[in-house]
Amino acid sequence: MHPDRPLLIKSTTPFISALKHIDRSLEKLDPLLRRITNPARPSYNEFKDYKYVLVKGMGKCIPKTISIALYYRTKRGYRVDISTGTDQVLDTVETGEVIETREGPEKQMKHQKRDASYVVAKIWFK
Amino acid sequence: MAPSKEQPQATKKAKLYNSRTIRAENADPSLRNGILNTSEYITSREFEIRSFEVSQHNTRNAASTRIFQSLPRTLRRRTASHNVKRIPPRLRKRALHEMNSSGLSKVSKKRRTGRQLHYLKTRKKLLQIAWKLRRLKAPISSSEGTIKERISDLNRQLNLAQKETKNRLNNTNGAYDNISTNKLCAPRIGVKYGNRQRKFAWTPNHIWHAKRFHMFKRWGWHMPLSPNQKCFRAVTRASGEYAVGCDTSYYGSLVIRCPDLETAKTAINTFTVYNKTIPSDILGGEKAYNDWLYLDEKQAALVSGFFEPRQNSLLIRLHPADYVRCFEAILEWAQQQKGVEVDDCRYALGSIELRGPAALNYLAKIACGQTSEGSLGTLLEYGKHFDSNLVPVGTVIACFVRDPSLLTGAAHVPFDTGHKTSSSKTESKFKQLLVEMSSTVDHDASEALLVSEKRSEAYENMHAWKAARKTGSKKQSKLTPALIYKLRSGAWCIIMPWFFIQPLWMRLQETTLNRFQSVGYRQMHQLDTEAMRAHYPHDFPFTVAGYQEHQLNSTSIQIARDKLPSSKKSCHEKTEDLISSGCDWWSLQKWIFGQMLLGSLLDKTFNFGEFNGEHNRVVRNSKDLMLVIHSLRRPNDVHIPVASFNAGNAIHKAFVEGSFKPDISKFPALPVIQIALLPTKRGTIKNNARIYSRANESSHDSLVGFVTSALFNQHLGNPSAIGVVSAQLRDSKVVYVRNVGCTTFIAARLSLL
Repeated sequence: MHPDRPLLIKSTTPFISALKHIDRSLEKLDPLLRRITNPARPSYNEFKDYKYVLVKGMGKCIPKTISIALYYRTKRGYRVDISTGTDQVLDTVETGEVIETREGPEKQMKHQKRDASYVVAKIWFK
Repeated sequence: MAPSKEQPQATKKAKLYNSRTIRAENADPSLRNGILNTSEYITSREFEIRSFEVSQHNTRNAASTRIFQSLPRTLRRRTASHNVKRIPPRLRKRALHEMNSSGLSKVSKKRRTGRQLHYLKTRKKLLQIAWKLRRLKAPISSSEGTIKERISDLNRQLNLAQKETKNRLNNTNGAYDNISTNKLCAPRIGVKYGNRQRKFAWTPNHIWHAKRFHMFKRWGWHMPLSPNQKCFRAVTRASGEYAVGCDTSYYGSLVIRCPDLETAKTAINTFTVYNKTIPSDILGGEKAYNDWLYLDEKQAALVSGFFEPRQNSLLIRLHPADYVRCFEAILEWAQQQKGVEVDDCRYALGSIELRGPAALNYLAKIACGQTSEGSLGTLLEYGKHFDSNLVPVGTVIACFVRDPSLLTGAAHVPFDTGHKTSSSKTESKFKQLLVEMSSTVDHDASEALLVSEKRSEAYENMHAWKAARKTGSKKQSKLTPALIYKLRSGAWCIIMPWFFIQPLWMRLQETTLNRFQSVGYRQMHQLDTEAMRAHYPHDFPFTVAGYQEHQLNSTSIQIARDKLPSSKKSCHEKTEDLISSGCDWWSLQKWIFGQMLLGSLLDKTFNFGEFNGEHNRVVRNSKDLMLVIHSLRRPNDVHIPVASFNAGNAIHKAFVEGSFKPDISKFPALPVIQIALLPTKRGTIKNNARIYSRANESSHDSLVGFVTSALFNQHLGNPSAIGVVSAQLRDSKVVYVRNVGCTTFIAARLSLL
């Protein structure tokens, strides 16, 4: 996981693999955990500003993301903040224009914006 | 890395000793009456564990002050040498000291005498004259022959250059625009290693690659095949997490220059997939073309291209295997048109392909200044976005970028993290750019790249890489044109004038440090196969380049097999019959049509060979058919036995429906389709594996195709493969794969590509 970006939960992401991903980033970023898991390099200066791990889910994946957040709050005892919001996503749609080619008709495409709600869980380091 | 010279010897020694001592605690109060109190024991050992960690740290720090230290694998170029002269001069003294103290033998270079010394001296002389010529900004033409002849030739050029001041280059780097109009261009030949560049030209970064890569010679180029280090996992990781890059200057570019828009439209109609209407974005020079090049209405090569409307010029970038053939065909067409000219820009335009989420970010760091507007601003916006998957294939960014050799630092292009308020603005800007589909092409730049005179202008006052790095030579040279577009493989291709490719490559290495994996030809194939995407030309056996590739592959397998002692050869005769060990498309075509032709006449129970009165074999069973097919094989048959399935073709349609009756005198090319394969259970698929429609262990009756590329797919954690099979299997769900020389069949799900 890139430390700059939230972990995105897709509809195809299995619950357990999301947990594993989060655990891995916690091990890497949380100084307390890092001391146990990677004693040879207890301090990464590049990650010193990180205080939490972000998990984000959009649309259909909102329930799954909240389950993950609640798992960390109740079972693991982390402080978890959940916030909601709206993001713009792009859809690739047909313009309606069709061009005849040597290999049959080719549909022309364009991007279109759509609003989608999301939920972000902030899992704070212990 | 190195400690300062002022550091006293005693301190250094003390540091080294300190690094080796590990302090320990003697008293152990947790062991009482033979019972160990674990929690107490651990608490008391905490001190020791901590000091052990600290000691490990100290050791590592102490080791980093030594000359011979262990570098990360990817940064290693060759093993540390015992020849002290190979170590950089600034470190030599300390290296000698370290070698003495550790008892290593010093090998000093043998003094050259006699003929060897004479040879070296003459070579030095050759380079001195070449340097004088270069300082005069005179173009150097290197001739063939012995060193003596070459020296006299260079001397003649030097005399001429001192008398006449015409035809001077505009830089001391020896950079010039090497093109030929309406004929194939000869490569630029270096002074020192000229002879070895004549048949197989060098890419701009040849020397850099030759030190770090396995090289191979093909299609008129010395090409990087694969890094010296193991990199199978590293490449996949890099392509998913940051970026991989490949110097693809061996891809040849040609420019069709048309006198007016109408002729240009005819050219596009003739050579591209658009034979009637041309999309307005392609005609306006806003989108790159990523599809087949058509010659005589047939797919000839998978190419990328760009149309520049101001000059009515069409740039086509081809794989080196196709270049000469397609250039000649296009030239033939051009000569029938009025005023159309074709430039061979193979040695005038170079390119780099970058893949991975950070590809555009790295490029933006080098190309963009602090204030970026227009198309450079778009590049900056795209570069901030971590994943450029949203950007459609064919998106073009044409802009003037800073000369990479004169840069002192990289621009700050922060990744848009997507969860802070400031960055969500940039994210929406990125999306806005995609929705608006506003122009990202600076037509001044694309024009400057496609016109020879303007490329020459870009070279003005250009410095060689090392000269530019020296202090005092930070003169601002002109901006250089660059064309960046997205290929159908998802890679970003950067096309620049030939001599700017080397500084760009070096800057990429410098600014990205170890978060950039440089790869060769083999890794490009690996990445495509892992993404379950057909790799051109290897997975396209129905094209000329692809078929030649497979023929060569079969021959090389055969040669390697023939070299083995018979005890080491696996018994191919039993498993493969007379089908060759590679992908034998020729046999497949004859085999499938032969079976269709004879069909019910073949009798499995008939176990003997039968001959007629003229001593010709009578085909009674499938074994006879195989023998007859094999007896017809001619070594120099260039006819391609397979063709890509086309639903509009009457023969192909009949073949798929099962109503096709082949003519015994002439079989048509077998219609084939490309498929991706995933094994349903355990098992490995290897290259050239055979694909069957039924699992039948005794015969090849149900042979339908071959696996062209196979590997262990690290994205899936399973093997996956790309194969080409007969078009009869269009609606099938499962096929059976058997590796060469094996008898087990692996069931695999197939999906059409």
